[in-house]
Amino acid sequence: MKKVLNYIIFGSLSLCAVSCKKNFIDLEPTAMFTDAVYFKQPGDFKAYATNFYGQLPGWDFGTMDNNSDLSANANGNGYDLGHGTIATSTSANWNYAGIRSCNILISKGEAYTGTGDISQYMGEAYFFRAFNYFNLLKTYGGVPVVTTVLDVNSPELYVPRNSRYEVVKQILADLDVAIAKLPSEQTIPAADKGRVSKWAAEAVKAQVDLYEATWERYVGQDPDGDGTSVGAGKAGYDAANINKYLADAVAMCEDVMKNGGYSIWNKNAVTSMANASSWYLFNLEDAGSNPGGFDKTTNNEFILYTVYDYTLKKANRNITWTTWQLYPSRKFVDLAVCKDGLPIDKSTQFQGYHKAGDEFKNRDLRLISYLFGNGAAPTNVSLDYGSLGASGYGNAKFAVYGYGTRRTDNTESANFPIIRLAEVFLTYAEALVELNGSISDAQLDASINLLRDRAGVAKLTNALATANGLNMKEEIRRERGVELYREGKRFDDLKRWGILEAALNPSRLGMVVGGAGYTTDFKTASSTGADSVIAAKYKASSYVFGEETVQTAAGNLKCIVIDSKANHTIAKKHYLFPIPVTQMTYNPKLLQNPGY
Amino acid sequence: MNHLKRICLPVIIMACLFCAVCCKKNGDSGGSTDDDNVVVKYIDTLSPTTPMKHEGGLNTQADFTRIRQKVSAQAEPWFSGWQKLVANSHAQTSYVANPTVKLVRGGNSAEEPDPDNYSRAMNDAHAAYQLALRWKISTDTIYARTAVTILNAWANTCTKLSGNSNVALGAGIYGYAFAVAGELLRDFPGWQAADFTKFKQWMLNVWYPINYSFLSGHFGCHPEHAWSNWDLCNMASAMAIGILTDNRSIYNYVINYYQRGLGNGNNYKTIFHVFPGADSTMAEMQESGRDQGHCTLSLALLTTICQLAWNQGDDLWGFRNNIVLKASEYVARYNVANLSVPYYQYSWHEGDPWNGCGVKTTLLPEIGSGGRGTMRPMWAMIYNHYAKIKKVPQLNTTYTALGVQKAQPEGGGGDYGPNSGGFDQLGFGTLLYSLE
Repeated sequence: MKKVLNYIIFGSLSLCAVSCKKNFIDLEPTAMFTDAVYFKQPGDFKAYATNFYGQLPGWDFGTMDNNSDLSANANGNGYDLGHGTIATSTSANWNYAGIRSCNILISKGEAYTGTGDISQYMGEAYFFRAFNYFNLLKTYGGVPVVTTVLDVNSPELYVPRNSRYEVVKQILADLDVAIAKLPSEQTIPAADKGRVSKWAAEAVKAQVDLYEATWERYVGQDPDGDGTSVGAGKAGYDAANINKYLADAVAMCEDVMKNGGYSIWNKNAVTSMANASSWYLFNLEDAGSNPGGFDKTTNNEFILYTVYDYTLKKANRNITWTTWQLYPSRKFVDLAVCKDGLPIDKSTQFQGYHKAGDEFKNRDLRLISYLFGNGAAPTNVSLDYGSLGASGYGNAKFAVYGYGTRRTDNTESANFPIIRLAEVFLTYAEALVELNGSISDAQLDASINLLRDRAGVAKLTNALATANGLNMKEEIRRERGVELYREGKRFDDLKRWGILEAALNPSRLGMVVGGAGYTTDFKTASSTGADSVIAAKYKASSYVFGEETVQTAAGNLKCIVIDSKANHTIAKKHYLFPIPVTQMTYNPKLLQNPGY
Repeated sequence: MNHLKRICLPVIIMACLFCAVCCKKNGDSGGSTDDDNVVVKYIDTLSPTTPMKHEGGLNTQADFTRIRQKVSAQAEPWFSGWQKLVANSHAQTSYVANPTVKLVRGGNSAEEPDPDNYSRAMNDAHAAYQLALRWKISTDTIYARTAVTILNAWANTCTKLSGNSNVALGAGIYGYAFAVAGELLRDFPGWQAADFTKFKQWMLNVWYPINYSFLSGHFGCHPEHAWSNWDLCNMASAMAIGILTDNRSIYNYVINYYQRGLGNGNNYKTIFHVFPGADSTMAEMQESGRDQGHCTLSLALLTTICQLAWNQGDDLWGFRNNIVLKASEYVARYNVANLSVPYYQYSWHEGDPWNGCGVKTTLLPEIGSGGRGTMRPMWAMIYNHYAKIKKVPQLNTTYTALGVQKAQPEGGGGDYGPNSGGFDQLGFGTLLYSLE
């Protein structure tokens, strides 16, 4: 035993002796990229920046507004936010890894003395740093702002949270740098398509501007806390920022609209496209992805998007199969206008709910495209909750053309939209109304009326609004809710409009089933004049939360309940998520958000 | 070594003292502390010489009198439940038994090269049960005669159960179905005494040994390896056979196993976590983290055991402060109401991948969403016991009540598809357990 020990000690000593020779440890590892050999030429920066694109959202059922007010099904994504059951926990998206990558590139870029232009890649780093902080802002409110590369003992690891106002300031400043450094879309070569352009940075800046301006106007400072015992505090708040941000949002949008070279993808003039541009836009791949033979190169509407490719990068999600089951709520179906441009409770074109399919007559093409693809609303519907929470309505948005033949499960490969021109129009119109209290017909025509053209509905004008008692701000919000259905914006919109509780606490309802006083395919009048269920069409017992009478465009009527209001407890605190408890253990200076 | 002794001795003494303290507490209270610090009253067993009660197994004569009145008055929901029974293809006098000498579950295996044929037993046992119900409720003896013919055919033909370890599932699930059908028919005068005796011997000789062998030794595996439904179906079978054959020793074994058993049929393991605070009306089951098809199976089997014992005067329903209701609320909230539930991580004794035995554990980090929404005709029995007999507050039966509503009228074997899952529980709860 003693002998063995001696060998070990002796051996270790000799090893030490060898390793102390300086040139032994100063070798550069030849098979690894390290700071010592990297960031020596623009190509290094480009390759490094390419990695940032993994931080963008992609195809995922968590980005499809499930459990929002416009969704009624049994999909679990978004459940806690949709129901107000968010609990403090250890796991959450408190992620600074992306920010650190950006900080590394920025610090290396600032020290770069080589030849060649690296400004595009620097611009990308600033863009992604802003993008990451915006995600943190939307999730937690104020967070510590870190703009340098930290080490394990950096004091910045133990600082308190910056206020949301300071975070917004940092985001906007980063975006200004990004805008100055990034190329225009027109100069990005085909091989590099998908990299962010100056316009994409402007579109994100407009998004941040509108988000923060409306948040400060409609949510206010309650979620901030005092910053000394709870929350991130109010440091840097300036009441004048609301209009400053709104004006900047308008300016950013105008630049994108005027100089970006983008256009709305409207192929409704092509007969074979069956007026379903709003469906084919979201499954656009090669020429076989629609009957018009349009491929991705015809898409001039997506400004910021994640690139997918059938050969190189499939979505690897069963997008079609699953999205078919992401049924909308009756609120969404009621939200879309009629062809005359009026909401269903104002339009004489609305046909009521007596027969299945009636409510889809004379309606916005987006409602048809998003729910039924290139088809029409079915006239034969059976109601059975099943295990997926059927609301009676279908969903087709994001599903492919030619499922089962052209594309099978998990092979869908359309680009994923993050910001498209349609959103820039919506941001523009909303920012104008928020800024000026009004919007001109010319401004409407330059923006959202191009969306209404594609949707086959009458233009929104000041005359139409006045004649029918419409509130312009509400109509623009309606337009946004319809156009951006299931594109991952809804929860944030409800928050910044200050209506999270009001929108999410009511039940998620499905089709109108009516009763003796309003017969439908599902219920009729019995011989005694009571409600009588038509069992072949309506398995009433499968809807365990029964029916609820709500105000509809055809009076107070009974609808099936998919997800009862009894299970929704959204409160003020839910505008922000709680700080993960693990982070508060690492850094005791992090104070929890109010209410958690 | 002496040095070692000096350290160890105080530790040993301390350990002994600790034990002494623990034991004393149990001894004093006559029970033990549960998860939520409620003192649990254990259920004593009666002397093996005390005869079993022959009321009819899952239902009593008084139940059938009530059901008969409700059905003849066409009162709901009983009448819909009755119509469900009458419409079932198994509940017909034209039903012909299809017995086999060797019943196989777990065939095409090293242990049993022949293929599975257990669907013969599952269909026939349910036919006998459903026909016996029709006789009990209508009093028309033609149904009892048909049922007895089925049971006699099996007792006269089948000599063996076979298969790999899955034979335990066959012995448990069809064992209790046959035994409960037999118990229902015990007082049918048309069942020849010799035939009835032969049937009882058949249950004891062919079925019970596998039930007992599995529960007592788990075929050589770690007792917590097999998921709870494996223990539970064998407990149900042994209990029903004990009642049928008037063997209280067998019955007592199950009552004890339910409270103190080594395997996952021990109630503390079947329902292993009670949630605190706002969720205290719910408890998580051992199979919750696996999938919902099996989790609902466990609940169906567990409640069958509770109901059999209840009619013997033993309140397993009430054990651990109505814990079965809490499990039911948990399962129904997730599967019927489609709402989220809290989850407590479960560590499963997965064992050796080659033979499933051993002590290797696998963590199940979240609730098993597979099979979510699985419907089994089991809610009416649970709900009516707690809401109508125990009269627990309505708030504590919220989701179980939704299950009653959703499944109504509950059917039985044959109404939930042709596969084994539809025959795991005897069903017809709307007809059999609805109370005013």
